[in-house]
Formats: sequence, C-alpha cells, structure tokens
Amino acid sequence: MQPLEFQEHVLSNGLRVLLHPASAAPVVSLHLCYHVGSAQELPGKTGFAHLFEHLLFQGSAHVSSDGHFRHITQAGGTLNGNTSFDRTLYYETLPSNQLELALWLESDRMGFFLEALDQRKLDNQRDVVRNEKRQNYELRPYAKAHEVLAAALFPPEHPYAHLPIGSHEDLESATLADVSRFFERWYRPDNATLALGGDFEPRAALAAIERWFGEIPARGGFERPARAPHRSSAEARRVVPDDVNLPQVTLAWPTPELNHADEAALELAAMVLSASRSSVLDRALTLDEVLAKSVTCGAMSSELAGRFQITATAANGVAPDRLEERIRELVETTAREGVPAGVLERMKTRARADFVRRLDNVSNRTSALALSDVMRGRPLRFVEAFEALQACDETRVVDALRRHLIEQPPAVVWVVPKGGASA
Amino acid sequence: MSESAESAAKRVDRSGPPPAGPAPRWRLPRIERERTPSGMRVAATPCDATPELLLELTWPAGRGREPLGREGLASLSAAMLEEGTRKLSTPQLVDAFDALGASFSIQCDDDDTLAHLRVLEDRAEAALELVADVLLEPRWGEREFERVREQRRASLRTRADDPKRVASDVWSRLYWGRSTPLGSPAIGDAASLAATSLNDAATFHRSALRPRAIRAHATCRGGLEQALRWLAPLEARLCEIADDAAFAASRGEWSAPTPLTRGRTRIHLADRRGAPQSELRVGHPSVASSHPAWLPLSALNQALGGVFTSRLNLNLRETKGFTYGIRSSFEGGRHGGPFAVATSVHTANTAEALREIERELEGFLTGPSDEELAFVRSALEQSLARQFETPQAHLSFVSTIERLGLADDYPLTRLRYLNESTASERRALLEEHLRPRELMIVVVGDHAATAKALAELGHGSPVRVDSSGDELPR
Repeated sequence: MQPLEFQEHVLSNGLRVLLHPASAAPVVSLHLCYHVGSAQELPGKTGFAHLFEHLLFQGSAHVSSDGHFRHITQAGGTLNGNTSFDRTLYYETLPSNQLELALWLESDRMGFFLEALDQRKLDNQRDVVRNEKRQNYELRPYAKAHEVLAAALFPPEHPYAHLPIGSHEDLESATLADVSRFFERWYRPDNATLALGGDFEPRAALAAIERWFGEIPARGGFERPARAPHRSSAEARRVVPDDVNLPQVTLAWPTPELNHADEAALELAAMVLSASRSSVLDRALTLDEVLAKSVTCGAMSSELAGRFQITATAANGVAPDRLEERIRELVETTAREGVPAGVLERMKTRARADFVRRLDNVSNRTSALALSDVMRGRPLRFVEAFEALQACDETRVVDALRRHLIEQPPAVVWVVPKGGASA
Repeated sequence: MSESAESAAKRVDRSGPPPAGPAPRWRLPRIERERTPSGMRVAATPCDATPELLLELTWPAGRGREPLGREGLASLSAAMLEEGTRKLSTPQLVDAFDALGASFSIQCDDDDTLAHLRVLEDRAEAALELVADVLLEPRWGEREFERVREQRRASLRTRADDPKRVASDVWSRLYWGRSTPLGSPAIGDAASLAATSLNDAATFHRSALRPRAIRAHATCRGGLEQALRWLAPLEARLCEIADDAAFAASRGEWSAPTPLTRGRTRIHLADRRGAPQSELRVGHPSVASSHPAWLPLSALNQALGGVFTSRLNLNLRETKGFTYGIRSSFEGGRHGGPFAVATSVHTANTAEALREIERELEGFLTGPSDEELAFVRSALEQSLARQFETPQAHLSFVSTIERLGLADDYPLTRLRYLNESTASERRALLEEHLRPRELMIVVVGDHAATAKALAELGHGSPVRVDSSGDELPR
C-alpha cells in the first residue's frame, strides 16, 4: 500500500490540525472531530451528544439557521455529521476552490454557536431526533434489540450501557441551559482534531486554518472517562417481543478497547466466523443446515471498551434456543479445533482489498486520519491496526476466541414474534 | 488571546461566506465503445484512481420478462448463479473470489440481471475466468435450488415485518397492477415460488444470455483497450454461443407495461397497529429517462425535494419536525418510473404531513423562484468538479449512460436547461408533468390512529389494503 502522506500541526489554542494533500481530484474534504460522545452524557441526559450534533447544523452567529446545508450544497459540496459513544464528527467535501467556505462555517459554529441558539431550534431538532429514533430504532424490524443489548452487556453505570440515540424522556427534558453547558464544556479547539484532505497547498491551508480558528479560546481541563473494559461474570438474558415473524438471536461478549493487543485477533476471528458465505457460521447455518435466514458477526472496539457480537435470524420453523445452541457449538468448535487451512490467508487478502477500496477517496482517508487521531491517539494508528491484522496468526485468533468468548458468559437477546406465534 | 491570534482574527470577515477561488478544472469521463465479434457491447472509461478493474456485465434477464405466475424467477435465477459452477461448489466459488481479494455479486432489476466485479489489476485475469464460468457453466444443483427456495420462504415470511418494504410492495401493486410481474415483489410470492422449477431458472438465464444482448461496462487505468484484453477469454467462449435469431432481432427488449392511471387522488392504507410512525409514498406515473423532459424535471426537482434545503424537507423536517427526512424524485428508468415522494412521519402528524406535501406540490407548479433556480444551477454545476473522483463513480457514469440511453454529456444537458429555459417554459413543463390532484397515496400506519384525519383530507375514506397492496373487503 502507498504510504498516506500527511502533516501534523497544533495551533496555539490546542486545535490539532492534520493536512493530507492529494491532488488527483479537484476536491477538499474537511473532517472536524470533537472528542465527546454519548459516553460523556450525564444521568438523565441521554441522547444529548447526538441532539447537540443536530443543533450544530442550525446556524451560528454569522450563519443562518439553514446556512450550513445551503452554502455547502450551493457550492457543489456534500456534508453530514455523526455521533458515536466517544466522538462527534462533522464533515464536508467540496470543490477545491471552496476551502475557505468550509473553514468559515466550521469555525463559526465552534466559536460563535451559542449566540444563535434559541428555543425554537431546540424544540424543532428534538422532534426531528425523536423521529429519527422512531424510524431507526422502533419501526425497523429487530432494531429494538440494540438498546436492550447495550444495557444487558454493560453494568448500568458503564458509559456504553446506553446508546447515543438516548431515551424519549431525556430528550424531552433537554433545556437550553443544558445545551449551553454541554457546548461550553466540550466544543473547544483543544478538544478537537481538524483534518483537511485534498487539492491544496499545505502552507497556505495551514495559514487559513490559523486565520479562521486561531482566535477561538482554549478551555482545558477535559476530564476523560477512564478506559473501562468490562468482563461479564454471569450470563444476561433478555427477550424482546416485536412485530416480526421469525425470531432473531444475538450473542454479545464484552471485549477490550481500541488499541488493545487483542483487537486484531478479534477482528480476524469475526471474519473467520462470518465475513463470507463460506465462513464458519454462514456455511453451517445457511448452507449446510439451513437453521438461519442470515447471520452476521462483528468485533467492534471503541475507546473505553469493545464488544464481539453474533446475530442470526432463524429460518422457518427453527426455534431460538436451537439456533443459539448451534451458534455456541460452532464458536466452541472453532476455539477448540482452530481455523481451517487457508482461511486466515483468504480473510487477510479480503481485508487488504477492503482496506484499499475504503481509502480510494479523499473524504474517507481524511476521516480515517481524524478518527484515528482522536480515538486511537495517533493519526496513522489505524494503519498499524490493519498491519497488526495482517501479521496475526492462528494461535492468537484461537486464543482470543477462547479468552473472550469461551471463558466469559455472553449477553443474549432474543427478539421474538409478539404473541409468541412462531418457530 | 495571544498576539498572533489577535492579528489573525483581524484578517477574517465572518459576516458572510468568503469568496471562492477560481473554479477548478475538471472534465467528464471519456467513454470508449466497441462491439466485439461475438456481438457483446463494451463501454469503458479510464480512471487512474486505483490499480483496479471494476466491471459490470448485464444481460436482459430482468423482472419484466418473467411469465405471469413465475414472479421472482429473475431474482431466483440470478441467485442460482452464485450457487457454484460445474467445477466449483458454492463455498469453493466463494473461496476462489476471496482468495483473489475480488468482490463479486449478482442482482437483477426490471430490465436486466447484472454481475459486478471489483478486483486488483494483477488478479483481474484470474477473476474473469471465474466470472466466465459463473455465467456460462453454472452448477444448477437441485440441492442448492431447494436451499435457496427455503431461504426465500423465510424472506417471504418476514416481508411484512418492515413498513418500508410494505410501502414499496403496496406501491408497486397499485402502480403496475396484477397483469405484469412488476406489480409483485422482486422475490415473488409463495405461490410463484412454489411453481418455479430449477429448469425454469436455468432456461430463463440461458435464453437471455445471448452475446448480442450482453453489455460490459468497465473502468480501469488502461481504459477500453485493457478492458478488452481482460474480457478476451469470456469473449472467446461467447463466440461459441449461437445467437437465437428471434432474440437477436428483438435485441433482448421486452414490451414494457404501462402504469395504471387512476384519476383523482386516492389514499390507500395498510394497517400497522401501534406503529409510532406512518410510512408515506405519494406520487403518480411519469416519464422514462429517455424522454426529453426527464433531465429538466430531475433538475427542477432539486428545489422541490431533491436536496436537504428543498421545499419539502425544510417544511416537514426543519419547520414542522414531522419527520427525520423527506425526498422526492422523478425516478425515470427505461420504462417510465414514477414521480414519488417518500418519507416516514410521526403517527400523530400523518394527515397534516400529507396536507403539507400536497400543498408543496401544488405550490411548485409555478416553478422554482429565481433564488431557488440560482441555487440549483450553482449546486449542480459546481458539484461536477467532485463527482468523478473514484473508480466506482466512473463505472456508475458509464452504466447510467449505456443503460438509460443518455448522451455522454448528459450532466451538461441538465445545466443547459437551467441556464436557457424561461420561467414560462418551466411552468409549462411542471404543469404537464406534476399532477398534485391525481396522486396515488400509500400510508402504512396505524389505521385506528390515522383513518379519521385522513378521511378529512378531501379524498374520501382511505381504501384499506393488505401488506401486498390488494384491496381488503369493506
């Protein structure tokens, strides 16, 4: 793989700046990542980091309420934002002559947001977010399981025990004062990384960033939650009735955080179990036996902790206990007998191809640098993680499976048809 | 504030958007074409972004050619192509693509079955060998067929779980009716699935995979010349297939059905008890992509419901808070897709949301304001500079042009229309093609909570339908 060219700078107010010059296409892509997510929410204020992300698209002192979308779209660009447990990312990709526009908009909402905030905007975006929750977590089949699983997997005080979308009750209770406090506390240059990729001259771009962001004061004193890896000691089981016709079974195990020595082995283990139709779970459950309509598996590491998750929707006539039992047998067999010959090499080849494809555009490369800087502590640490996966051998994959999936009990969530009429 | 920061702050004017620099130079991808000796049509565009080949192969095994009673045959036939070849079982075939780091998949749409391959250049030759085997020597195994059918039975069983899918099924049934396979879900229904044999699937595939009806769309660093070299082994095997004379004469086209016309606006409601939101589809039949009005209409639609700051989204999301998002489009396609608005709204706002949608459509008949027109023109024109960065964007460009029969510079046609049309021409176009009083409205939501308010919209009581779109007895 070609090395990813970038420069690293820190402004006097603490804003970290990553420049990734790439002139192949006449575009610039700006990714501004604030180190705050739902893990920083206080009790009774769930959903706040994400609601706040919505409000940041509602204008600032010098930008009208629909200005962010209007200006970027009119200039031929695209934009969006997203919120996870640990960080909130805002980004836009534009023709290369529109760099200053992106800097104006992002610096205005970092430095001058509160002046333009009002009750109407809060009420409106609260309604929008509650509709987002209805659409993505209540109406979508099986999606109710996500919240239940988070609460079953982690103890109540754990920052990951609730999802970024939050609860209707907490969203309802959010006040303008809450929003102001949240902004004052987290939306500061010294709590963010700005990554800029694309067709620009680095020295001029850095000077422009300094011009637009340099005057915004630092805050300092950010309290970070400590790394909070969790080991479960007892099996948690939940049953969620839903408007569905076939049961779905999810098994999830808490795993270590990002950058942990087991991260690569767990990711490779997930691929071995279910990356393609011939993987262990897919082959047994959907090709050889037809116990499942579909199965997915993923190792997801976040800043404070991780999870390893397997989800399968039953085939017609298959009860959830039978499906769960078979999944457990397959995981145990893999941990005991190892990975079939050639499989690891194929999965590494597949991971290599995916990695190259994912980085085929400026926006994704710039995003990867920003996220790695904030979440992993270094811009190129995500490349190191990829290299660690390529270097991982069978012993480590099997060992990780044994320690994290066999030697600790999972959280188990069944989604079952309402009224129990199935299987 | 430090001294340097203070002086820096003096240099920026935050009062409005800063002036843009000179527009960057860009150009549309250049498409090269050739008809090979077998009759296959190849179109390719060079792209230097990555050392990869992206290839799309299409042949006219689309849903429109399914016989009635065999709905779902096209997608079943396409699925069976991924179930092994004469030489390789299903898992062996999957492993062979994985070993090359290649991604490969097959789908079908109304017109065609489409195979997509993405692979690094140095593995392209080996990947194309596999693709040729998939197309020309599929396994057609009985055991595999029974398994695929069993999985489809499970899919049919879960179909009504998802309100979005129900809305789409109801819409298709009302839009096309029962006399064409397009009025049924792409995987058919329980009866058609039971009636379809392995032999049906194999025959359907073989009859459509005729060299003169195959199209190859590719992008790679070496453009057409390189793509033809990689396609050569497939081409050699295609030359051995005799073209069916009748099929060659028809060029694989099928006679497209006409959407049902329904006159004045009616509401169709599929009940979903206790649903927190109602899924809405609102629209009417409209023009195919080859119609001269399609590009102008799709450009004007940007201001109505094509982007975040369009009238529909600003009203229903950013002012009213009824929804997480709403979009409209003139879908075009080869056979006259609809004009359609799609959204999901809070149950309590269902009727009010529909009233607002109708009001916005009615209000748009006079065309976009000068400000909206300038906005759309600028957005479309400037976005061209960033649209052709990736190999996938190049492939989509070739595929869109070849499959829809558009000109190589079609993005510029759209711009020319915005630059050159007069307000009265735009109004006339919208009056002809936007019909806010002849809407087909589909609601998938809680009947008890919405029916009364829906009946007060002036379109009569909602017609009750089941999750397939068939009318329920009163």
